[in-house]
Amino acid sequence: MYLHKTQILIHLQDILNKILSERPANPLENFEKYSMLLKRTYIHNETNFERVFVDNINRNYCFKSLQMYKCASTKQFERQKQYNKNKRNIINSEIDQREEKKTTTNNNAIAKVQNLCEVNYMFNKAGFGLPMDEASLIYLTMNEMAQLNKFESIRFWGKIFGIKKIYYVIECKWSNEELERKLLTVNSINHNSKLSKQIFNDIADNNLSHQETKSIDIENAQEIGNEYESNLSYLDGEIIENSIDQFDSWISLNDSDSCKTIPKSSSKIVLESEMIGVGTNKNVYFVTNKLNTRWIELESIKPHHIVEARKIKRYITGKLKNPIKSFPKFNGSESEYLRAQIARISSSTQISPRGYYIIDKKEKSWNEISDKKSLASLHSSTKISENDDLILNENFKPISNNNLTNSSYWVHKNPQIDMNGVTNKLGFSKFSDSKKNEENFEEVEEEEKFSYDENIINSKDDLFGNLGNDISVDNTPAWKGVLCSPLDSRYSHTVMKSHVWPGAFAVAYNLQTDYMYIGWGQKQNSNTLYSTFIEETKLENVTIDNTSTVECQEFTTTQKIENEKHGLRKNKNKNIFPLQYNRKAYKGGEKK
Amino acid sequence: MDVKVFHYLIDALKVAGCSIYEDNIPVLYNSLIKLQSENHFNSVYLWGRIETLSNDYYIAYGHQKDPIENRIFFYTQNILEWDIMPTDWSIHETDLVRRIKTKLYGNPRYLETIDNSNKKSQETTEYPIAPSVVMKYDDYVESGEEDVQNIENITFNDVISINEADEIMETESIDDPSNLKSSIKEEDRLAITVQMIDNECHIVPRGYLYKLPNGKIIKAPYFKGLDYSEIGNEKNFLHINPQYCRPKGPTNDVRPDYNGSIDFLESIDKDIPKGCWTSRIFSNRYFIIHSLLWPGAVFFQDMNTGIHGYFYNGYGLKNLDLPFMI
Repeated sequence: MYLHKTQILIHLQDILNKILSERPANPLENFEKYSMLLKRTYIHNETNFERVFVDNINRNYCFKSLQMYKCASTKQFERQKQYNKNKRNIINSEIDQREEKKTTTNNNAIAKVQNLCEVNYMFNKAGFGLPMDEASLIYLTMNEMAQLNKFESIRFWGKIFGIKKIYYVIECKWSNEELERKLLTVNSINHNSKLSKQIFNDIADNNLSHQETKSIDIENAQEIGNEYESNLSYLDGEIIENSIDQFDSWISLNDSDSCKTIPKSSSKIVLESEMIGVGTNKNVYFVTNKLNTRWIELESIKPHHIVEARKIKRYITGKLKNPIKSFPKFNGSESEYLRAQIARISSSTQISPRGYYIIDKKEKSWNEISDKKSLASLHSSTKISENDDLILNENFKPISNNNLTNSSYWVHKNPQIDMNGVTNKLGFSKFSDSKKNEENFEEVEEEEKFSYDENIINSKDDLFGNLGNDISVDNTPAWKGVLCSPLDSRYSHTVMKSHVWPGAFAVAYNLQTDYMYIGWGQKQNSNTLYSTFIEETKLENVTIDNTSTVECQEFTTTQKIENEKHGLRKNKNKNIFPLQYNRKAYKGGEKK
Repeated sequence: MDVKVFHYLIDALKVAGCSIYEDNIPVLYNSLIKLQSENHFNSVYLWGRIETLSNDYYIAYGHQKDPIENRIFFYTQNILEWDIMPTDWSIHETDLVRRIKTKLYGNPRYLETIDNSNKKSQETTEYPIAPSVVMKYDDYVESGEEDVQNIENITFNDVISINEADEIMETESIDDPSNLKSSIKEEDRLAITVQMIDNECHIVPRGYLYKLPNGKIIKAPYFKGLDYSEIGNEKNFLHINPQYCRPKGPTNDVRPDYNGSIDFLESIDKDIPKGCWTSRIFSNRYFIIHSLLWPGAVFFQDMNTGIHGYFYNGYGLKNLDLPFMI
């Protein structure tokens, strides 16, 4: 086409030019090739604007998303068919009814899924909304996960920006059966890892077979194979978990080359990670970089990771395998760091209005399981606090909007993580009787209550502490309550924003409430770096004569001191306060 | 973010993690249009939101002819009426702002005081670490600020958050507190902070602004946004900051496709510390650059339509730890 316009002579001239400039060995043989090459450049010259425009859109991404939608719709269709069939069966015969019952029981086990569409409306009002396409894809994924019958509840945790990529995080709670299975496998490995390796291998084999059966289960559950929640991710996660459990003497290996000043807890006693389903490991987290690809399960957290993560301040990159290079050393890759940050954020920023949840008195059913297994899980907490489980308060009355902007009408939903990186006082139970601990703990708690401002009423509604008691870093309140639409305060949503973890927020409107995190995963702290350097030097002196009991006492005394300071602070109220006091103060749901 | 494309970019704002209250959007739009018509602006931009302890500040600016030099900044708290931002401040006040590391209070009349003793204590803890950072920044400062140090009252645009090297000397030489005015009105602090952020983080895509042969700067009328092939390169993003507008001689390293009429601004690829900008494409559509130095400053572009904008949503605090965090 183009050659029509170009003179044939010019074309020949160009070929000759090319041959002259390049001087190939045998120009005659390749003459046609040269001609072709040149012709190609002519076509290339003629830029086709429309084509370029279409190419601008990354079609693959759209196709992938579309595939997800298609899968969802076909599944929905099948479910509908199944439902109709069952309905007909009820009418037809009684024998079939039994089967139908079975299916309904299965259906009952389906997890509670956060209604993201509804919640996103609230988030939008609060100025933290998710865009439509993200919300729909996430919602789809969560529904898909619910079909696996593995989870009790599923919700979208939030987004964490990284330097290279972003993380989307989904928070799930294992269902009881799944927990049971997990505990069984973990415990058996824990138990046997101290034996010789051969035995371990045998068990690993057993384990593998176990996993195989499980994977079959999964396959049954997920009939249409697709990319979400691939069984691989589960298995991967578990295998990694197991392999780490194998190295019980992990710290001692590393200790030789680590500095002496590094975490006291790790140098002395390594706290075991909390049991799956308890405390910091109550929920399991799935992350992904792209919404239409695989979600990866994060391993359950180890306390020393939290302790170490508190000391460092680094941006997350977006690659899970990335090693963390920081000065107070972080022993682990980014996946552990991410998990630690998630744990810290959830512990200090997941909140609800007062009285929205109440503590469930009933002990969990899987407690029995853990009792059964208590022999195997020597250290894992045999005594599980009942506080762990929250249920919706049916008698909850909506709090007026003006009150909701006041932080003392909000309470923490999750237990604090203490300085050892655990929630259920594992650090104590190791050293002395559990009864004593409880007494100790209660004492401390009472003191806390005493030193707090007495205007704030302490009641059972304050699940894990009132927000009014949080202290931020820079002499500023830890939370800020805002009415979302200032022009109409009556029907406005109310948002609570965290100053300690910028990006964490909770919204409440009438009987609805939810929370999310969108941010960089960094704590707002104007002087972390300096303070860590100072603390490092302090630690050096302490570690010399440190025994386990001393640490125990130390912990309580420091807490007392903190409380006193805290009391002082409350009295002085709004006075400019020397920075050194703040450094040790109770910081927004976490103790340092 | 131009008010004209305000509604198109709301989704992009959400993706970037700095969306604004949904109920405020219509109000903001109307009040900004009013601002434009009252002041006879060519166009009005929503610059950003600065979060405070009580009421947030919304910042907007407009310009009449020159989109860089003659920008006039406004702020509001009730999003209905806009107040003009103060434009004159002494070099001393900028020093103070650099030193304050707390969040804004939320009241323009609030008087922020810096305790001298407190400052001293901070000095002892900070300076062992700070100089390395300061030294790093030195050549960065030199680009435009050499002559500023001599002048007592610096002009509207010349603030940068970077400590000058001899600032340490300055603070040490002044001993009597009467000499040192250690308090600053929050309105001024806000203005200086906004100016600092704007100078260091406000970026435009290459080709958006066009310099005419007579020296006037206009918005390129047919600019369609950057291409997929162009967004990967940091050289395609330019500081809007006039301080960096220095003529490029042929001796300087210039890009191969140098075009004097669009390359009159400084690109961001030489910013210090290295890696203080992160760019990604979100949800297959929105291209977003975050500034890590001033957390909250974002540039975003809708890749399908080429609509782009700049927004700041944060506390107005600089991330001084950045070199250790990346």
